[in-house]
Amino acid sequence: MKCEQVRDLLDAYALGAAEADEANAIEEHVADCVRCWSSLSEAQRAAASIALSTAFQRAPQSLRNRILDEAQRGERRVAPNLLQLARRLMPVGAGVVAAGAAASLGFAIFLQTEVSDLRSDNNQLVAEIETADARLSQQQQLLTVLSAPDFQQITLEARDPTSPSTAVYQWSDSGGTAALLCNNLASLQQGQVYQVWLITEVDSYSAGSFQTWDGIGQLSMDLDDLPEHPIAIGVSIEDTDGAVEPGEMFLFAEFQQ
Amino acid sequence: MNVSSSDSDYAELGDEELMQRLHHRDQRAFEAIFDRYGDLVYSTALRVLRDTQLAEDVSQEIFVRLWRKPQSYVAERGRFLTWLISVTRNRAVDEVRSRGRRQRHETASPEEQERELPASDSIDPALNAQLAEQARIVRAALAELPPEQREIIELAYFGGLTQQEISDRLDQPLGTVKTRIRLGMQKLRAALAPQIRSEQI
Repeated sequence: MKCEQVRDLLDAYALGAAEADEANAIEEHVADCVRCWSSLSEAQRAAASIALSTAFQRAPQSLRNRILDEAQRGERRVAPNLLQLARRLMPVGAGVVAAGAAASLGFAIFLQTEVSDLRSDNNQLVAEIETADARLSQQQQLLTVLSAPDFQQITLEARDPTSPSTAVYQWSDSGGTAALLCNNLASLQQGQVYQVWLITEVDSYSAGSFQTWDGIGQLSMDLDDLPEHPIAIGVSIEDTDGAVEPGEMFLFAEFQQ
Repeated sequence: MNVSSSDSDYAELGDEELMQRLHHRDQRAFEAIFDRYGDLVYSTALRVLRDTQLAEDVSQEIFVRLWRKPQSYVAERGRFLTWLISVTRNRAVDEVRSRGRRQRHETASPEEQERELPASDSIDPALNAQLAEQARIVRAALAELPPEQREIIELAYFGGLTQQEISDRLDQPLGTVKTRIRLGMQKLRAALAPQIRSEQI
């Protein structure tokens, strides 16, 4: 596309009104053309200013409270000795490995079969089908991770060397998703969940919680909801409502920096 | 970083300085940004979505993401206000598209909008006054446009419609829609040139 054609379309593009093929052509062009990029920048500022013409409404106080609460929740600090303790207890060397993807794919196929079998059963199994469907949905998200070209994974080590529990955290930056898969987990008591934590230099973030079935547990995660550049990941057992700060983490791994 | 700064100190800091502090997880800087732009983000989302609950959800998503990933704003690429508005508008339009909520977007006149502007009673009256002044200039510039140009620009910006969709909606030739967008935006850019050049917008 030539500069003249691009400039005819810049205003529509800045307003978000260009068709997809036009938008692609403009983006390609301005990546190499400083003058058109400058014109686009001006058009975008004019377009953004249109928002100022709207009738201003006061944002509800409850919205403000929710947003600020959310920020505070994300700022839970890890007690420094917690991380040090975990490091002392964990053998270093749990690193990124490429193996394991095939096993996880088999796991997903197993679930697909499980869902099919359940469907052929009677109505008493409806609730179980729904549960299995939810699990299948998690597996589909897992497949997104596993099939990504930048798929990575890290093995979590059990704090107790005699524990049969195993876990692997898998993620794909391009897919924007991650999953934690656990096996041979101990049965939880009533009112308990497994809770997953991502730890950065200063904070610990709850990535969510999960229950187990037959010793298997899984949590799928959206990377956008997780902190960037975590230094470690761990799993603890908490009350059903989830904990604010991690308790004792019985599965743990440090990311290679 | 001066951790003993009072709230009024924060209210006096520029957007870029507040964003710098966000990188250091300064919650009061985050609070100051919300108090400065929370109404604008919510109002923009509401204008696009026409649903208070959805507008709250989108606003919450925008601010929580800003807190979690302040690096998503890159100062070298432009002014914070422009970026924040664009992110809000685009996210709200995505929501409309994903929900297929393509109802006709009625547009209030600048006079009606002016009446709806609330009194400036937040903790940052100076900046609200500055925003209100910018809003006044933008509304005046839009009011100067021929109604058919303004309608199309607002359908594109707040309605999230492409030129082809506007052509279908208004039953006007695509060429006419394109021309009206170009002419309308040319006039708008000319009217806002002093603000754009002085980086107020």
